[in-house]
Amino acid sequence: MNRHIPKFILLTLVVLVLQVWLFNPMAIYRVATPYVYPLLWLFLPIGLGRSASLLVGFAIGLVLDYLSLTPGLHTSVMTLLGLLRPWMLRWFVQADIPASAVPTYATLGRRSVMFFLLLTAIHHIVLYSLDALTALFSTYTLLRMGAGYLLTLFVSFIIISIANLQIHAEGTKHGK
Amino acid sequence: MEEIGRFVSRKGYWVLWLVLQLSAGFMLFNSTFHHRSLMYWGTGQVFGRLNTLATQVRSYMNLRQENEELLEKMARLEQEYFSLRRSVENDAALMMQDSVVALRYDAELTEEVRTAKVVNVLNRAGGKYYVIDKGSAAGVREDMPVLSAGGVVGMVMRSSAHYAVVMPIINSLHNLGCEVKGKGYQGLIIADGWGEGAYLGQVSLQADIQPGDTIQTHGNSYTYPRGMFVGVVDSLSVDRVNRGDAIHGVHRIKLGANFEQLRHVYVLLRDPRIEAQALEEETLPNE
Repeated sequence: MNRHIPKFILLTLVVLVLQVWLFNPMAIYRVATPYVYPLLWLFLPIGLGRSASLLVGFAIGLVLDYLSLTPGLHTSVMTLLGLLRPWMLRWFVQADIPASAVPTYATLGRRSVMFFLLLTAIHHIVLYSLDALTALFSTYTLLRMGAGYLLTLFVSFIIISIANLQIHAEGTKHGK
Repeated sequence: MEEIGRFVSRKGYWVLWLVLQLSAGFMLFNSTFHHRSLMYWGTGQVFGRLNTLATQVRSYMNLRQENEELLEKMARLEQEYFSLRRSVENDAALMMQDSVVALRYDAELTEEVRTAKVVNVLNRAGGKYYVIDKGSAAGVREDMPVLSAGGVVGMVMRSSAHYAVVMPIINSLHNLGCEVKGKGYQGLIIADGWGEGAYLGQVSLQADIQPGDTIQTHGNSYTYPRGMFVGVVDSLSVDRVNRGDAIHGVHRIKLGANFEQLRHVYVLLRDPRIEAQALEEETLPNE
């Protein structure tokens, strides 16, 4: 598990940089902004403890908020996802999968996609609710949420594919 | 203690989550003006509702006192309203004296007119009586004629210092002598009770009377001067009624005074010729 840590940190840095300086300023048709950083939960081990999950989520959110000048917003969402992730994984992971494995498509197949769809949906609902609070059910907020969700999925799948390819390529090189 | 330690080690992530989540929430609601304003708004909503509730409870407690004050105020306003209404009606009645003057002109009268208001209507076995708010203190005495803007009403029957009872011509005990204006046919106004209308009776069958003819007082009494408007002939009676030994025509008439809506009347301060009546009784005691 320890050898995954530097890779995860590197991936986190890349995702955060992309998120802050590329995706955050983006607002397609003034409504769709991709929030791709929840994909980082796919690259943490399935057996990660609850407390560790909370701390990791809080830390990622804190850094993102610091760079995005939105103190507390992403931290709140990521901390909540850190609490929910272990329970969600119980539904999608079979008993025979090792705890050190990560819940990517290579490990869980379609279940990984379902897990990510649910994770991202919860993320977006909570994020936009916190952002608007009283205006949760306004048409504009729902439109932003829906458009952002779809765009996030689209961009995330591209990033996940690239990351998976990279991991696979490295695995092949080590195998030789 | 061990159990607490076990609980914390087992469920410690809940505590950790709570701390981290509250920290994030604290940062969130202290960071931007938007979230701070939302927090103030939420707090304001809660305390605003509490204040509203407290005010409603206090209002309910004070409701009895407020009700009493409102009742007093309403009574005061009603009193003012009736006072104003009375003066307006009195003014209107005074303005209408012109039409009474017209009646007087017709009857060539010179007497003074006293305005009075109908304060009560009595219904006794013999018929209807009106009580007016002017009595002997205002110069109103027995046998004085009473008019309205429409026509003859009746005569003063009794008077006290400030009130008088008027017997109207629709009372069956009151027989008013009348004539058809311009034709000279004489008769009596006969009323047969409430709402049944009045008739001109004891008229000769040969008399040429047509609907629309004016009925006025003929003046052969000390009470009513000649020429006071009473009404108009409404229709000629098909039935001929036998009254006494002779057969007379009985014609339905439409009275000028509106007895259903009588509010103000005018008393003609006319000398009832008491002296003449006394002389008559002295000269012809058995008649």
